[in-house]
Amino acid sequence: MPIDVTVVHKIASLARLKIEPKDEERYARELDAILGYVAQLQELDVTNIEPTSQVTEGAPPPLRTDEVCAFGEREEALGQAPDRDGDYFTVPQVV
Amino acid sequence: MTKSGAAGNAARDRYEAVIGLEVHAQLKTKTKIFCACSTSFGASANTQVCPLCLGLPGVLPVLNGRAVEFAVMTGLAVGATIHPRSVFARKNYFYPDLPKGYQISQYDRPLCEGGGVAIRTAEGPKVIGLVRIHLEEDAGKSLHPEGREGVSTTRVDLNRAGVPLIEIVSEPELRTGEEAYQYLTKLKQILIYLDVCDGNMEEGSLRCDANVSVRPRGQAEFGTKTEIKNLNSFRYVEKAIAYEIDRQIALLESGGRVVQETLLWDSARGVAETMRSKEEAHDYRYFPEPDLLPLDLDAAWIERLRASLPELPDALRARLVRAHGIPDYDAEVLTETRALAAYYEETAARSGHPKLASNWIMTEVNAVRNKIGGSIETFPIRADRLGDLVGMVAAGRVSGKIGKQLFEKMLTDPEGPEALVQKHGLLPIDDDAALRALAREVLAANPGPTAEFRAGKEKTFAYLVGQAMKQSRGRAHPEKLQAALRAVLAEESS
Repeated sequence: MPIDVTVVHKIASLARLKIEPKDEERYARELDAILGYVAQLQELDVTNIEPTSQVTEGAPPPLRTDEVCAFGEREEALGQAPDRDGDYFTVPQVV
Repeated sequence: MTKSGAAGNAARDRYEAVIGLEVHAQLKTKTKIFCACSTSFGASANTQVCPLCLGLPGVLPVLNGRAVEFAVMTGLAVGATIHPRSVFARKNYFYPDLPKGYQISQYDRPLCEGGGVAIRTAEGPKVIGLVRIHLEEDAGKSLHPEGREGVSTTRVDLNRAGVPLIEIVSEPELRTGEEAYQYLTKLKQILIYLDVCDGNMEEGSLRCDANVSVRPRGQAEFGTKTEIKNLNSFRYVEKAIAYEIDRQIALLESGGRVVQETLLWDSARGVAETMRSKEEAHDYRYFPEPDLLPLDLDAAWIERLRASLPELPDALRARLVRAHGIPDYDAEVLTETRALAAYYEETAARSGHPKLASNWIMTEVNAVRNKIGGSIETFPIRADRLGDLVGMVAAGRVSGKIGKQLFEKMLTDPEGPEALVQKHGLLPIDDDAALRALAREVLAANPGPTAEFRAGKEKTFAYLVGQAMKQSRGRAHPEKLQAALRAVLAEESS
């Protein structure tokens, strides 16, 4: 799929990114080039090849036992946020 | 706004509804799916959080093995295929209760696919197929400022962020709100039997969204669907679906078209209203989660889980019918929970009268449970005492009526029924002399009715029997009492 300004708009909107109008053409061009490069991979025949979603294959993934280990630093956690109201994080009203 | 009932019956008959349900069930683990924070409900805000579930940088998720076990058990219980490899994926969207900006879920490689849930419908048994069951994490909780004067912020509590969920997606094979209700009831029962979810809808442990469309009968293609959210009881699911089917039919009948959108059910007003239009469908930009390896399961481990599954509702119901010779209806009621079935089996064995034991539990025990609430586990009369009582009634040691009095006493008195019979003088009166004495006493106390009976008014006899029974506090042997009354009446008039 060629990347044009419409696609750039959509991606920016989904990612909540504000893009200056003067940069739109440039982003479209650059993204198109990057995806064009990756698209070369599409030429390979991957029939019967298991998709690779991870390169650290080998050992089975570690599973955690179901035991509580409390972090216990509520003040520190809340302190990281830009805004709070008592014991809650707060954000501008969403509905 | 289309009012419920807008579509006429004739129009309704021309259409068929197509319903699919997405159920989110919270798994009963102690800790979250990717970190060791507690999942207990009702803790003070933001006390069960850590850098991982807060979405802070520099931390990596580690999958909770118990959550995997519970999800696989559910898949096995509904006959799904358990994939030896499944892959976690990021579902990207922005909302304040999702601190990372993405939810870790499963997308194109879910843990389980297929399977089904057997329900009973008016037309007979039906199996509702499942599309998939996958693992994912829950989001936090937003508290909106609605009604709070002068407040323009949304508060966020992230205690729930990262709690393990399974999403169970049904095939669009449900046809009515009632079928949806049956499906949910059965699914919840299975989850509770497996002990993988507590099924508590009030606390959000079980949540349901419904996809609804209608099509003219005989048409193969589906109509445009809407999604209904905010369904926090099974009855609301049933009502909301019935409402939405009716709304769509009325809309189509009046020449309109259904718009694909998300609706919110308002239970107070009984209407579903637009939440957001889905004309531009969500684009979640899924991709494989780079922080987690694919989940590879050992076939032998899956088989061990399969072998350790508890007896499930349908199998247990069939066994109760077979083993105790009780009707299927009784078995259905008694298998509401595993604990109730166990209670029944113990009562049946102790009393030696399986059907009578079933009757007592379905009527007396369940009536009290409905009144005081509470599960069978906390019921004040345990199965051993109920079994003794049922045995005494079955053997004719006490009448059914006295049995009920004993039952009432046993609710607050921990003694066994035999001890209570002695304590309260509830032994049956079946001695002929005693019954005749009782009869004389009652006739003397009721000269009017006695005279009426003698004058030929046979109906008065029942009244006299009732009075005598009352006088004996229900202890008199019914047939022998009647015989004694007749005998006394006969001798006195001669």
